[in-house]
Amino acid sequence: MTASVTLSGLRIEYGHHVAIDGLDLSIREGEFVVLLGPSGCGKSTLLNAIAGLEPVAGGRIEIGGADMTRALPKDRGIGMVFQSYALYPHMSVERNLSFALASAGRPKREIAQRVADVAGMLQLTPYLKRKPAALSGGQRQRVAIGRALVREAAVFLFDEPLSNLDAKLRNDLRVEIKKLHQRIASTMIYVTHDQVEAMTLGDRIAVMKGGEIQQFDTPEEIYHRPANRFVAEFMGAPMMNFLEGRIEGRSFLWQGQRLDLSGYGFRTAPQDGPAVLGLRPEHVHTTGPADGGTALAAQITLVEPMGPETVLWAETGGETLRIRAAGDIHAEPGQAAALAFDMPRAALFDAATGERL
Amino acid sequence: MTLFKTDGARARWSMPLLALGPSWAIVLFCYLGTVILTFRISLTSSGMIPNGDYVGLAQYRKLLGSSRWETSFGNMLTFGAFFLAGALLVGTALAVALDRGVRGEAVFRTIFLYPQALSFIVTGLVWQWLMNPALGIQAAVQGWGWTGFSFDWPYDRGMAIYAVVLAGVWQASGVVMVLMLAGLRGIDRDIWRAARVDGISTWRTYAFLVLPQLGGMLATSVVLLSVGVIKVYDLVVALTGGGPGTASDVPAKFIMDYLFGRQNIALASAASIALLVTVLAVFVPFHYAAALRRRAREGAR
Repeated sequence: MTASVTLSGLRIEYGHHVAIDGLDLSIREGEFVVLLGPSGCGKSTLLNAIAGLEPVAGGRIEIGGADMTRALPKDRGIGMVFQSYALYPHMSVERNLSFALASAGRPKREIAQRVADVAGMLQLTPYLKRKPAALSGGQRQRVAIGRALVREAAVFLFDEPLSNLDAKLRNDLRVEIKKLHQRIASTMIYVTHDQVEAMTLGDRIAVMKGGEIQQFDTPEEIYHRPANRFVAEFMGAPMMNFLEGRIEGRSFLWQGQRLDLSGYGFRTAPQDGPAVLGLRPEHVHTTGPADGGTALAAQITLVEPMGPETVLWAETGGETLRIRAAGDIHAEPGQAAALAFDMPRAALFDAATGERL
Repeated sequence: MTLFKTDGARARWSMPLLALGPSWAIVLFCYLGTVILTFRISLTSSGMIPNGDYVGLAQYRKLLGSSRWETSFGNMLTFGAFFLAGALLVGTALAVALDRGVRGEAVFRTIFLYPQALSFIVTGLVWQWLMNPALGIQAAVQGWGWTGFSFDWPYDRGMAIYAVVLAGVWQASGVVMVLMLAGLRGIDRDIWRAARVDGISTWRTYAFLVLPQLGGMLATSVVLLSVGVIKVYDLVVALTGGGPGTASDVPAKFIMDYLFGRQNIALASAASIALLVTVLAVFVPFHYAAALRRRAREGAR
């Protein structure tokens, strides 16, 4: 089962504080959408509103084409997974999975069948008789996912489900959630503040800040063509480099250097004036002028070997740039380097508004 | 080989001894010592002061043959059952009501807990007035014209112990409420959200998901209330005086009467020991079962 989710003009208030004002979001059937943003950006509020756990002050929520703005959570055809798992601690895994169905008065045989199916799908069958306290964190979260699955919902909502797990389990479960989505093809809406989860899981990512969606697009677009400076800063580790300079004609002037913008895809015809050039660390090269780019003299100040790659911190003209270099590079702090920028893949932002140019 | 070989070894032994010594001394001499002393006296024919005239189990035979002891003991069981059930039910109901988010929760919480600040003597007196047919609730309701109304439990042989139960529940419910409310507030809010998404009604959520998680709070409440049941004395003295006759007598009052009023400390001692044995007979298996359960749970992990 699957359904589209459409939010239009959504408004959420806490007393006099407006958390979300006039938000629109359209999610296709079977899509995996990640709501991403720093804490307090309204992503969990938005998820709770879709679930019906947060009252809506204005606007409309449609699930599968039907108006669900005022519907009870149970009538919305949703399943939800919580950060704290929210398992019923005194019940066995089996009871945890079956309780909602039993409460709804479903026939015993149907319940047993569905619990068995879900337990098999999530490899929980050996643990059915155990209490949650006797499970590991990853198993607990699988039970929480299972509890959402048995209800055969059309839309699954995940509220930071992996934040309480350690790094390795987080990776394992992330893969499991992705496989699960491929298998059941239900619509999934997933809240996280972790950009790796967002990039790897999402068909599309909605980057949020201050109750507003900054950009809603595929992970590739969000990473390579960020809509504004906030999205550019929030996505990517190490962070994008920002150089403050001026646009003049077809060039970007920075620290007396004239960087060629002829390969840059402007959204509108560029105007001369102050601007910010954003460069991903992988778009700064230490290869020198051989590839035709402009070479800048710099000094390496810090070397962070990561294994597959090495992050170099280099200083030039009073600015420190982050550079992603090959894992086998031999660099020492204090060493001189010549830098070249991959200008066609850079991002230019308006100096005042931060919007992409 | 000496026990205290080095300074380090001495420190290892002396510090815990110093810390635990006083409390062990109190346990040994004050609690166990007096229990043994009481047991010895119960085997004698002592009257006003203890004597060394051992008469075997004669006092126990006398005790078990006494109809007043039988009434006292039965009353303790009746009081215990209704007081425990009543205070737990009322206290939990109040806690759930406050947990639903009423306006002015702090005010209600204080009001409900207030009786606990009163002495049982005060509670007993207040309820004696309230249930006094001449000036309490009965007089008031009859004054409004319902002349057939009757509410005189402390003066009714069959109902006197329930008057004590009523006053006890009134006094103790607040504590249960506070404990249960603390427990309810400790429940993960996501449990409630999960239950709402699952479409489980509010009362089912309380009954099957929330209250079963409050086992610890429930156990604490039961222990606190049970202690009150064993030592219920002042409430009875203030409310009914054990009457009419001995209709609402309780073991503690029986013991006090024979100790100081009737100057038969041997019989009073026998009654004390009988009470102690009763308590042990209830709590020892209870604790044993709890320990077994705990071990089983740890084994499963």
